[in-house]
Amino acid sequence: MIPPSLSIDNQDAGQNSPPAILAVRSDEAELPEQTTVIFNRGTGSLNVELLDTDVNDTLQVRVFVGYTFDDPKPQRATCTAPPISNAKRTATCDLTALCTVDDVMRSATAPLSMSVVVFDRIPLESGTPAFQAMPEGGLSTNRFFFLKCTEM
Amino acid sequence: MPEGPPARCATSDDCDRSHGEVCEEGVCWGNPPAGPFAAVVSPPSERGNELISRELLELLIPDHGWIGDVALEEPVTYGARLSALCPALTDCSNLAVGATITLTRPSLFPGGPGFRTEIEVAPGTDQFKLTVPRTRPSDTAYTVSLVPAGRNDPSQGPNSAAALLPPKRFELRVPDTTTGKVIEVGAEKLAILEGTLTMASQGLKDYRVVALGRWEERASLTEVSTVAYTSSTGRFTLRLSADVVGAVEIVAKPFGDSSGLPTLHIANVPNSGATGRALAMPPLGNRIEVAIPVTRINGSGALGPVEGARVIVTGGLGNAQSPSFTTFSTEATTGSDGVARLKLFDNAAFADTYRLSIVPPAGSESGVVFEEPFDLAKVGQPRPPLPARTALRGMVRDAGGAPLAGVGVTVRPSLRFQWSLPDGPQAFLTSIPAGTTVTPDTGEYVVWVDPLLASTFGTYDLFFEPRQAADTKIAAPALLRTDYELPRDSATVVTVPDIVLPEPAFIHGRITTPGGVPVEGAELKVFRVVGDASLCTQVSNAPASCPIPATVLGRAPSDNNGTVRFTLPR
Repeated sequence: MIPPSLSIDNQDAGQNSPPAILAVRSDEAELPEQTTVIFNRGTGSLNVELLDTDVNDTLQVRVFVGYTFDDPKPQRATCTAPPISNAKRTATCDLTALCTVDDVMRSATAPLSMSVVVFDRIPLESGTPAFQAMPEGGLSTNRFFFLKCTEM
Repeated sequence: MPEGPPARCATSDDCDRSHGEVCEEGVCWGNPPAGPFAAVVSPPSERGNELISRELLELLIPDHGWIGDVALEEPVTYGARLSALCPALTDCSNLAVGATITLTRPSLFPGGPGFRTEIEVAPGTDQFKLTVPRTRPSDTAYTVSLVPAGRNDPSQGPNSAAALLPPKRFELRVPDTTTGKVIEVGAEKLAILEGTLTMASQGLKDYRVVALGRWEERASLTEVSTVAYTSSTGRFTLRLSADVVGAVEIVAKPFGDSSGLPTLHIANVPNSGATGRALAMPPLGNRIEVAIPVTRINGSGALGPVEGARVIVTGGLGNAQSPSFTTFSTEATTGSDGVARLKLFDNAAFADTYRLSIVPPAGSESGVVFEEPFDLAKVGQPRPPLPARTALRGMVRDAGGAPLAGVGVTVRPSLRFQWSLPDGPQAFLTSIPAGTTVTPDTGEYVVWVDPLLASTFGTYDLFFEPRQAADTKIAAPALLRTDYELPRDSATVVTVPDIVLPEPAFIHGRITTPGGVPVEGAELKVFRVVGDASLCTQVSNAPASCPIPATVLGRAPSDNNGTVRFTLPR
């Protein structure tokens, strides 16, 4: 009987580990998941603290508003955390386009849905689910919030 | 010894002692750039009940780079219940009032984030608590906005909180923890707005009617009345908040069976009340589905579909000076075939007002279309491809001049660009997702921007965020280059002068409770205070408060000893 190798496989041939979102922070404070978060239209940023033990993966963060599988909408914000020799990293997403004028009025009475999704592969330009499809083997994780948009 | 910091020194002799640098943990700390700096320290979200964020008007950074203990604040609470004060002759003794309550307070320093919190008070809640930083004698009061619950529920009847109690706004100081307060919502006597919605002389049902107004001069429009949902009579009654400043606008938006119809408006309604107001729908014709293809010319010169583009058609008849006016807006996203399918009305007079706008997906090399005349008669004919964007290309180097890989580059419209545009184009500009990329080993980058909008040439901000160096867990300083002005020509490629990221100054400190106990998972943000507000006088359409945000120079979470380590650009 041949004993199994106990050495760690190399990164490319190993199984992909999912990325994780450790914290999402606005310009004001950390945003607890599934709470209502408030952003002014046309301004702001989101700092996302990420963890991926596949240190060579480029992590893509996308922010979606009102995304459903029945009515998928493209991301409102994007940012990238390039590979580093550290499992933890951060990325800052510009939120200029997070809220539209309509969102301000609509969310005044009922908050919108907002998802911060991190992908460990660059999402495909087409495929299902729209705007979130990845090449085979890609993994993603998300954090969900209720979004309220306000005017400055 | 924390893990991570770069082994840059063994003793302080390896550091720039003449500028105060000190070697600790293998890092030369100190020699900060010139201030002044402001800061915000915020607790981890799971400790939000016992600790609260705090603004520091001035963060002193000694030459040795140790800022000492930065204490979070203990919050105070404001305990209260809501009480309905109903219009005369209305029995609302059984009315369970709920509300969304938002507290805001401007920042202590120009451009800072300030404080904002929001809670939902469920109908019938006996007591609720607002958790906020203590109001000190020199502090500005909180502005409280209270919006009664149920305003988005058409099944709420005429005796509901949504129909009887308008939103309320007031100021509040919370110098200490308080309980047992009562917040009265509504009033016995409020200005009434009454009217009817009609379509072809018949009452128009399934419209949500509300008045928009301002809480103070030059503030943005917000809902300032109760809400009415029309039945087949089309009649509505609104009660206006007593705190409104100036005239209001009645806005009726469709829902349910009326979804897809235009929005109806009456502007300049006095806040003292009005009766017999008529909002009449103009002739619309038939509702037809229209397929709008969106194409682009790709890198090889071939025409191809654009997936994920927002296609918006707007229109409407009349204006704020008319007795009433309509606005119409519908949008769809292009599918994998590059086609957006929208439902439009074909009445000639109404259709003549249509304008087409297109926002391509984030990162697209194709540009936007803004309020282009849209001719229903030409549907089905080939549309021109989206215009090309301008490529901003350049190179990022480190302080030694070497190309820098892994730098996140984000380009966004500058405040100068945004605030040079009227409201409509400004809102459109800020709905365009920012372009981003990451530099490869060569340090080069290309990001795509729209060269102009509504005949105004673009100026853009470029934000460079380096990845952490391989041997450190302290983020290198980011750089914001503001107001990059595009050349006034038809160049499709613009070369930006090389960006040299500044040398980092390493700074550290400790975040604690008010009692001096270290706090893990808190965050310290250091801002450069905005000193120059001249932009506000140079542009034509800045918001009333002209909020130029302070630039975040450094930010870091605290480790399990409460220690924060961050860099500032020299």
